[in-house]
Amino acid sequence: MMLKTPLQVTSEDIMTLILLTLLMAFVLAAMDVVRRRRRFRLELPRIKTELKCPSCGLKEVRDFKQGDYISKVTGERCKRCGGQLVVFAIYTIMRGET
Amino acid sequence: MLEGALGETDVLTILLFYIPFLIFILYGQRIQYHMALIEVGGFLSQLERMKNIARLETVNAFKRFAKDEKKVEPALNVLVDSFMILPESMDPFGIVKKVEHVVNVRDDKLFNDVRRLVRDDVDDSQVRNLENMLEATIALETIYKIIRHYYLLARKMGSFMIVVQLQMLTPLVFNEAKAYLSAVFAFKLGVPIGDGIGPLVINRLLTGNEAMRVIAKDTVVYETAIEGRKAYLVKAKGPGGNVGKPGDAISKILESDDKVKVVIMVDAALKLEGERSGSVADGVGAAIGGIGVEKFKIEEIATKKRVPVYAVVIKQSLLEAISAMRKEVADAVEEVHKRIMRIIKTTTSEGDSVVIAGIGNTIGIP
Repeated sequence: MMLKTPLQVTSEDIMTLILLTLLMAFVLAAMDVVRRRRRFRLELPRIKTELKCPSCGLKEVRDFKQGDYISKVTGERCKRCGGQLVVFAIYTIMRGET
Repeated sequence: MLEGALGETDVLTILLFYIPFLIFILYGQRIQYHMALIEVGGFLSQLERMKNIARLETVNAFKRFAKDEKKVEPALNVLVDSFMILPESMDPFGIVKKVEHVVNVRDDKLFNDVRRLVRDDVDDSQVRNLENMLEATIALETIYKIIRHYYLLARKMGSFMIVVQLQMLTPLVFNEAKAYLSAVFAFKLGVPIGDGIGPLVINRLLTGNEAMRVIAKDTVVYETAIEGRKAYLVKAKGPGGNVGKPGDAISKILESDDKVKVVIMVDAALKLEGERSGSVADGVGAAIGGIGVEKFKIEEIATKKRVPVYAVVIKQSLLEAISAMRKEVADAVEEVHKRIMRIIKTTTSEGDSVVIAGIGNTIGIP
């Protein structure tokens, strides 16, 4: 005499399980491929030039212009005292940062 | 219909359940091999894209300053494939001199090759920037060629082990390639790079009234007074991309001034993951990278003259070191100055001389 349990598994259940496993494996593989393809994006940083007035010490930050270098007298004038601004620092700020 | 522990199960279901196990047992490694090959292949095509972008940017930059635009591409194709053979080290006696000679010949050759391509009115700073750009492109080309070599070798031999090693290295190589591509753009624009923090520290110590003289090839020294001590401030000649010969410069200063009581070297250092970019650390020893020739010279003269060598380093990743300087790194200058002053005050007395050397690429920093 066979004992019937309430947790009897049929072939349909196993088929569903196999199909679900395959579907999950496919989704994970697809996500992996998408992640790997997205890995390289050419992202140019925002380069800023920090100018400083040697007379009053006022600092100003603007976008980098080609030809800027540290200690360069740019010809720009200080908004506070009218002195010649000098390039104090050149640096990048990553996107998303302020 | 079979009836067992799993209840009613037909033959097809049993096959569908067990066949994948058999496949994975017998062909698991082949499947992994093919998956790894696909991944490395994708990485290789990304690397190829990066290399092509670098090459295109370099060609365009050269064309802006070229004597004859038509000659640029063929000449760059030759230069990108150029190489340097290091001397034989089976008998290591005198190897440093030999290495230095080969490196000097290579540097001069590259500079002259670039100089010949550009117009005569283009200044040396710009030529140096183009040369640096070319070097970053050569580095990317080399990485691409090596990875392609092992990828094709793995495919040809069907070697699981080769392709898995490549797969494991992929993230590290990819970061390095990204760093070199960023360097190409930094050199194109002429902006200071992370490695330039040493020269930047020296630049900020200057008031503008110091006498400057060329002390060694592409290397300058400023003489000034700091806390009653005579200070020699050494850096490469900017604002073109240059690392100079700090070893020669420090040797000459120590040979000529017996009052030098300390040499302080400021350089960028590779941070470990988890360390903050722009954090400052100090220690002892010659803080200088490269092939080792300059480091050897500094250690040699410092030992001969019994002068202590102190190092102040600014931590950053490889990507940050060879791409445009990060704000966190630029902001470290003040902390470095504090450390330098502390070393000077604790190791020397008034009337002594000190050497402060800003090591690194001086692009964008005169």
